[in-house]
Amino acid sequence: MTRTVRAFPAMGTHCEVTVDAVAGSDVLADLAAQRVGLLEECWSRFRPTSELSRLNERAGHGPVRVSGDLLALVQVMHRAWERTSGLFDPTVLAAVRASGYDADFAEVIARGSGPASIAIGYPAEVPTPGMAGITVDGGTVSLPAGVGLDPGAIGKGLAADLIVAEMMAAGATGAMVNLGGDIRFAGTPGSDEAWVVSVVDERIPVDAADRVIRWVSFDPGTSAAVATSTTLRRRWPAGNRSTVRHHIIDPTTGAVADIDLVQATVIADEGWWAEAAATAALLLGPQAGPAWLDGQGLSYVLTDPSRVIEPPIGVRHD
Amino acid sequence: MYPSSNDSHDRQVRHGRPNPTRVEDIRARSVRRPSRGRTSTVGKIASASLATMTCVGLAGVLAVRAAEASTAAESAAGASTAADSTQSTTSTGLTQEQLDAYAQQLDDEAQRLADYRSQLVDVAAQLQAAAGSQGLQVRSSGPGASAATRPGKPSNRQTKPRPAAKPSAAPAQGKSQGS
Repeated sequence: MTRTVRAFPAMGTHCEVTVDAVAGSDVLADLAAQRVGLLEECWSRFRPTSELSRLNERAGHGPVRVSGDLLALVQVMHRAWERTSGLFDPTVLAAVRASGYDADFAEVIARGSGPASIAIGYPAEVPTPGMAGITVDGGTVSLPAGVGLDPGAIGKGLAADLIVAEMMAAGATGAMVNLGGDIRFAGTPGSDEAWVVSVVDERIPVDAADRVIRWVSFDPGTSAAVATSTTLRRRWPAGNRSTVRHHIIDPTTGAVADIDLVQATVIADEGWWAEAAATAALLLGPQAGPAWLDGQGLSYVLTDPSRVIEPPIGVRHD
Repeated sequence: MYPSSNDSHDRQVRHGRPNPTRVEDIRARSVRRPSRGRTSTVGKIASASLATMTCVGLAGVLAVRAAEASTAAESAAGASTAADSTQSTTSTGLTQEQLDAYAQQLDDEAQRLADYRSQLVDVAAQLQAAAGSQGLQVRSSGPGASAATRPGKPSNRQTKPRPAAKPSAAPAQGKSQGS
């Protein structure tokens, strides 16, 4: 039995793949890393030549034939939008850009502030049209004029899903893909070990010795995903630098969301759904968020600035 | 702005049937490249139709622009020169050069994906062989039929997580942080 772990930067974040196989886990792990790059090339909104950027450019110009990977992304965007009643809305692209997150995040931070068009101290309110007007038919996608898709973190969740599925289909005995905290795993690690995921408390400074808020283990053979959405990461100064923005947009206003929760971690069967549900819970807040997650049968850890909210993991939803 | 039911996706799919003549089939254009030699009969037919449409559309654009650029006194040769110097555009405002470059890019990406899948198939075969020699069984459903275009539908089945103590040594460990 062999195990290979590969860590590398991609998709604007830190990525890690772990592959267990009877042999050749190193080759599979390298292929998994390669696949992350291929998906980023297809889905990145920061690359003007990506297929997604080209699709966004053609909004209002009728159906565009797309690759299988881009079609899969648009399809899960649709499902996530429906299942969250529009709270997860990938059509926030214009609003995200207007808020200042209009380039790769490292570039936004390096620049030091949002674009000058933003009124100081006020969020830019840009309509978020939702997925209703977006048509998927066969291998084509049509975007209404003025609508752009932002894959946000759902892209990372789906990428982790696809890569783990492909590694397992190739014969890996276990695989875990972690794309900036969006984790998907399947199979059995090593010799019947458990999968263990640590949930980091984003309220604790990054240089603190121990930032783990919960350790969660999963039986060998379990296929599951864990995703965390937070307003405490991907923050940047805007305007006169007295305002700090985060990247979560409230689709009901098109503005940077004003929410009480600061972090939502959700455990689900698939990465894209865990990510969409985490974003929805964050927007719903400390009262409605847990109720909605309970209704979806999802386990979670939520935090507001002063406390942790969670069902007893492994009790309520087991 | 929120959908009222879960079947709106299906509605979109049903109602969104585009007029096939309007499909901007860049991929189809890319696969009809003769040098690649990978074109199916259906692909050839589609490509031929699109090529015809493109030619007709292009001719229309050129004719209009040529007419605009020409005066009544200009000869047929002059009109032809005007047409040649006009950059042809498609209905999306992209030039033919831009479309060709994009088609090439998509072709390259498709090729890289095909290479990736081919390598995955090779590894799967090697794993089967290795497992066979060790008397083990490898569950391989064939990466060629990957889930890439068939993302699963989430179920309400729960994944049975358990709270755990900090592991002293957890080799298969992931850290979920905010994104």
